[in-house]
Amino acid sequence: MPGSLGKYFAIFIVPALIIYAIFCILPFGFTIYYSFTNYTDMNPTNLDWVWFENYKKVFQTPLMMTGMKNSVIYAILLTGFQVILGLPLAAVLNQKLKTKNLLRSIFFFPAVFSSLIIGYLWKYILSSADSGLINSILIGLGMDSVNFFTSKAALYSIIATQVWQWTGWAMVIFLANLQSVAEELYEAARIDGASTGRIFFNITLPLMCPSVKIVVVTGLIGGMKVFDSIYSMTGGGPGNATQTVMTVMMDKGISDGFYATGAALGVCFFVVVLLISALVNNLMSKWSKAIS
Amino acid sequence: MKKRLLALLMCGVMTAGMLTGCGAKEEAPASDAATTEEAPAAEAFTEEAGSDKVTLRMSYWNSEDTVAALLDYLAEAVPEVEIEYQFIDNDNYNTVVDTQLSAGEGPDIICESPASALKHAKLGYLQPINDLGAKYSTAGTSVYSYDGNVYALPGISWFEGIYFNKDLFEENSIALPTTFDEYIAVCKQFQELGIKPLAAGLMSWEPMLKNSLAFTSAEYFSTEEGKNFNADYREGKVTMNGTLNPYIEKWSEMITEGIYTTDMLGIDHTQALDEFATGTAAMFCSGPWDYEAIMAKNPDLNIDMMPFQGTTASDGWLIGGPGCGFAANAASEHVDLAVKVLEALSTVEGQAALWENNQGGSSYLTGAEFELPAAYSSASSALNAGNVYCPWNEWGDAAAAHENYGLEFQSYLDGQDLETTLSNVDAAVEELLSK
Repeated sequence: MPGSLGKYFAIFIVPALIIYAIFCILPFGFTIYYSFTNYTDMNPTNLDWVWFENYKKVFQTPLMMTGMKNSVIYAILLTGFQVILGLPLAAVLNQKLKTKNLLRSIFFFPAVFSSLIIGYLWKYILSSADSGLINSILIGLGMDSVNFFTSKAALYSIIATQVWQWTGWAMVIFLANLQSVAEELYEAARIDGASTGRIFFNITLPLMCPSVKIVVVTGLIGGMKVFDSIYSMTGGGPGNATQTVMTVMMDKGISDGFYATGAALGVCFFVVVLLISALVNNLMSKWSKAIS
Repeated sequence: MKKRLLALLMCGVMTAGMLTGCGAKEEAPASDAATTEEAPAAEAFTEEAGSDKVTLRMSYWNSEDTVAALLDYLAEAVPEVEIEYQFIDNDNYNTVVDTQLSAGEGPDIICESPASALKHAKLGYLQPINDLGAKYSTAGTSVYSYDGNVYALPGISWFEGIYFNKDLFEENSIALPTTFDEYIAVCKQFQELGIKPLAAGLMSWEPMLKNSLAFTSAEYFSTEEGKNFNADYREGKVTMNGTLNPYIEKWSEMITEGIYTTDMLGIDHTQALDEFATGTAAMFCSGPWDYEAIMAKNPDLNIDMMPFQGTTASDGWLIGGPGCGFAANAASEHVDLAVKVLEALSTVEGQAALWENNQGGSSYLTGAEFELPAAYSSASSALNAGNVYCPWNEWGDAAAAHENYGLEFQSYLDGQDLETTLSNVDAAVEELLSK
C-alpha cells in the first residue's frame, strides 16, 4: 500500500470513491446509455435503442452547433484575455509598490462574487434603458448610446464582463508562481544589463509555465461549461445569439423534454472538452520541456 | 495510533451518516379519513400536520400573494386539509414538476398550463375530474381536456392588452386607435412629441410574441379562412411560413416605423415597466398581474387598457385564455382530499377568493361573474365580445414552441428575414410534434 497510511489506505479512500462513483461515474454511464435511446418526457419508461440517431441530430441541429461554437469562442477569448491581462498585471503587482496589497485586493475583488450576481449587475450597467449606467454616461457626454445586446454584440459583451470578473483570479495564480521565482535570476540578468522587457520574456514568462497551465486548463474547461453569466445577462438571446452548450442542454435537453438528445449533446461536449484538455496539456508539456 | 483510530472512527461515522441521509424516509401512517384505496406512491412530500389535518402540497409558478385569499378560503372550506403552498419559478416549473411526477411523487394539487396538462394527462399523472369540469364552460375546460376527460379546472382568465397613460393621451388630444393603422399613427404622434410611444422589454421573448399574434388573431385567426389554422398547426397540417407571411409583413410596421427598436433588446421587462410608470413612455403591453407594480411605482398614474387592433375596426383583441388549470395528482396518497379541495374551488365563493388576487380576469365557472375594474374599461369591448385568444394554447404538444416564436422574432427585429424566422418556428414545432 502506498504512503504512510499503510493498511488504512483503502478505508480512507473508499468513502470518497463511493461518492464519486454514485454522483459522477454512474450518472455519466446513464447519460451514455440514454444518448442511444429514444428517452423523452413523453416516453420516460419504454425506451428503445435508436443508436446514433441522437448524435446525428446533435450535428444536424443548428441550435446545438451554435451552442458549441459560442462555448468555444467564449472559452478561448475569456482564457486568452485572462492570460494576456493577468500576466503583466501580476508582474506589475509583484514589484515593490506601496499600494500593491490594496491593488491586489481591488483586482481580485470581483472574483469573490457569484457570476450570477455579477451578470445581473452588468445587465443593468449595460442596459439600453435610461437607467443603464454606461449609456447614461455616454449620452451625458453628448455621445450616441451603444446597444450591447444585439445579436452580434451580446456574446462579446458577456465575455467582457467575465474578463473583468476573472482576470483578478488569474492574477493571483500568476502572483503565487512569480513569488516562487528566485530573485537571484533577476539580479544576474540585471548585472548582465538585460532590459525590463527582456527580463519578462526571457526569465519571468518561461518560469510561469505551471501557473499558465493551471489558468489555461481551468479557464478553458470552465469557459466551455459557462451557464450562469449567460443565464443572468441574456438567457441565450437575443434569438439564439448567446446560446452555449449548457443553455442548449438546459432548454432542449431538459425544458423541452428531449432527454436523449440532450444526453448525446452532453457526451459530445465531454469528448470536445477532453480533446481540448489533452491538446492544452500536450502544448504546455512541450513548453515546459523546451524551458527545462 | 490514537489519532489514527479517532480518524477511522470519524470516517466511519461520516459514512454511516451519509448512507442514512441517502436512505428512504419512513412515512407516518395516514389518518383513516385521508387514506384512499389506491394509496399510490406520492407520499414523499405529503405528511400529517396533526391528528385531524392532512397537509396537501400545491405548486404554482406565481407567488403566494396571487392566491392568498384562495388559501384563506380553502382553510375554512376544507378544514381537514392544510395547504402547503410551493412557489416554483416559471423558468424551472415544468422541469421540477415533470421530474417529481415521473418519480411517482409531486404536488398533490398541481397548477398546470394547457400544454403541461395535456402532457401529464397523456402520461396518466392526472386524476380525471369530469364532474367538476362540467360546472365550467367548455371555453375554459377545452384546453384542459384530453381523450374526452377533463383533467384540470380553469382558473381566472388572464389577458394582456396595451396599458396606456390616459393623461398623456388627453393632454396631447390623441384619440384611442380603433385600427392597426391608427395605432401606428398614434405612435408616430408621440414620437413627434418626443415621447416614447411604447415601452417594451425585448430582452424577454414574450412582448413581440404576444403583440404579433394578437394582430394575427384580429387579421387571420378570427376569420373564416384562418379559424382552423392553430388546430391544423397542432396536427402538422399547415406551416406558418407560407401562411402567416402577409400578416406578419403588415405587423412589421411596428419595426419599420421605429416603435420596436433594436435598443429594446437591451431592456428587460422591469425596466420597460419603469419607463411606463414614470411617464417616459405612453404605452406598455402587459396584463393585470403588473397593475400593482405599476401603481406602486407611481400611484398618481392614470392608466387604462386598450385592446390590440387589426387593420379593420373591431372590438379589438386581447391575448389571453384560461388561467392556470388546477389539477389533482393521480398518484397522490390523498387524491380524494385533493379533489375535495378542487370541489371547494368550484364554487362561486371559491372563484371569488381566487379572483380577489387576480382582478381583471373572469371566471369560467357557471354563475360566477365579477365586475371589471376601472383600469380595464377601454378593453371591455374586447372582453365582452369574447375576443380573448391565445393561439399557442391550441398547439397541443407543440405549445412550448411559442418560446421559439418569441426568440425568432428577436432575431427578426435584429435583421433576420421573415421566411427564415417563420420556418425556424415551424421546425421547432415539427420537432416537438415528433416526440
